[in-house]
Amino acid sequence: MGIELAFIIIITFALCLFAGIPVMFSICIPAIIVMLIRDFELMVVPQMLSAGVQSFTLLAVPFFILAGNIMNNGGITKRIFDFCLALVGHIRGSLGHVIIVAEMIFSGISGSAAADAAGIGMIGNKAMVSEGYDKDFGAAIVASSSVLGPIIPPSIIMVIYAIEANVSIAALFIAGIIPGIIIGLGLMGVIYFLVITGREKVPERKRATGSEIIGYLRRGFLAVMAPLIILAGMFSGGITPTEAGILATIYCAIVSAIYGEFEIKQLPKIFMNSAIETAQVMFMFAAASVLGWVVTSTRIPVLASNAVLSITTNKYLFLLIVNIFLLFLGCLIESIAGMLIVLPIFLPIAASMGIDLVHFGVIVTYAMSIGLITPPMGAGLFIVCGVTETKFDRVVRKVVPFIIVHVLALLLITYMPVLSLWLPSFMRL
Amino acid sequence: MLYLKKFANFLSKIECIFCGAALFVTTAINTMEIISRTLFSKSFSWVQELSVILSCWIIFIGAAYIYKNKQLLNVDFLYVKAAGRVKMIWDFFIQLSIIFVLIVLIVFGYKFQALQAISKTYVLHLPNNVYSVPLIVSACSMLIGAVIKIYDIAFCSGKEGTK
Repeated sequence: MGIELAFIIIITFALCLFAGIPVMFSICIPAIIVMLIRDFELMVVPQMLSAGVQSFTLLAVPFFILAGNIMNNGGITKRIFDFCLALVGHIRGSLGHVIIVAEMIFSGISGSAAADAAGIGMIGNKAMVSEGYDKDFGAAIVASSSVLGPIIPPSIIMVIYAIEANVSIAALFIAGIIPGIIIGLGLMGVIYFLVITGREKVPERKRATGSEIIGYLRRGFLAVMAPLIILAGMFSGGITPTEAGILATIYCAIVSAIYGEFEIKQLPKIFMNSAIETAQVMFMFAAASVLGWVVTSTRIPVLASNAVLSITTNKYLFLLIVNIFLLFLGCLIESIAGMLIVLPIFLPIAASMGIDLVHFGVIVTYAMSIGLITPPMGAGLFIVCGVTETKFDRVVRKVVPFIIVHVLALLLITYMPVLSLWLPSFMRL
Repeated sequence: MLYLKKFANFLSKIECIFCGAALFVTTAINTMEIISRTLFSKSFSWVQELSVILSCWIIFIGAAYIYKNKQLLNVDFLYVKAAGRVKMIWDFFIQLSIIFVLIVLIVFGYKFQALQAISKTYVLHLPNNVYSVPLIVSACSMLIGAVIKIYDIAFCSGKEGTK
């Protein structure tokens, strides 16, 4: 019966999803159908929906979204961008590298890839257009760099994974740092390669002098220091990830006020937008709790685990299968929704194969995040195309080299667990 | 139907303002808690509970706003290829599926909150259904939106977007 139910879930979900039914309902419908078939009490649906979001840790999500929105409205993003311009703007590929490095710093404060893409995307694109860059190439860089958002802490998707997998959020956050830097360097490598081989023509900038760099650092010091302060607070054990989200929000608000670019009248709109973005993400989490309960109650993870283990007990092969599956899934469905659907099945298998669940978390987060820039459903691409007023199909063509590097980086991170696990073990997390 | 549409728009505005205000209160009380704990070594146990309650309201009421304002995430690359009568029937099917889920949420949510209402929360001693009531409110609000959408599909198809 379990296998039949698994098929019913998969087929119903796929039908609902591709019929265009909103994801949150597409997740609930198969769960309700299976409950009706198995004669489960339907009261479990509202019970799990409600219980799914009753977590103080999950409150980190709205706060990191709020922090990202305040940064974009308060001049912090601009200052981070200016500092990075002085720092790496002279390297061939100029503004491309600036966007990547700025994104790495920005990601260290905001937990939302959408805020990252919109914030850096807006400023980066303006600068690129004014310097005569190819608009599509610029949009491709911004979109590709938005994948860094979920990997470099803090990250909303990591918070959700940590709760689902019952692993330490702090350990998962810190596990993402080295992979994030490697991905960033990889993306910078692509830009450099495309420029020196003449595939992309970009104007060169002269190297900033030491005093110029110091000047920009002084202007944007508080903004650039934000990730360090937030992460230090969290990893020192003084504050929880939720409180780190609050700290990020307060810090960004204070710094924005100091910069004089933040008006109180902006606040209601920022709070309303952040609350609505939160609902968007978290209702899916709640819906996935219902599906997760149904999947677990019908012993589908056990059956799936047995099925996979009967094919292979090789964890490297399993990880390859997971990566291929997640990359495919990421092309079709939003990253958090996709992750929530597959985790109840993949987590027990990963655990039974002895895969470290923190390492697995980095892999899952990254594999699903690549979906931000893969057609047809790349949310990052849509946001960037909207912000930069570029055509989706033309940006897709320009983003291909970056996707290749992302996939190579994913394989590297998958098969070299030390890249993810060294820092958490060094910090005894 | 015009009155229902006006009511739905009014409801949307209230929901958006409510969510923003609830997030503001959540941020404020948690900030106060951190400051109080760090500087005065005094902690407020009700902050966590109230924050979780408010987050439930933000999530469910926010979802109702998102649904009514057509901001829900969906995979529509097949849907956008449909046109004319096919699209109309397709839309109708989508809304019916959503209504099916909403009715389950309202009927069984009501039963569930009645059960929860008997017990109290740990710190604030509020009825425990404070966590589940927003789900029912949200489902009712979405149902109003779904009825309007079905009306639009049936009577205004071609005049304005129905999805």
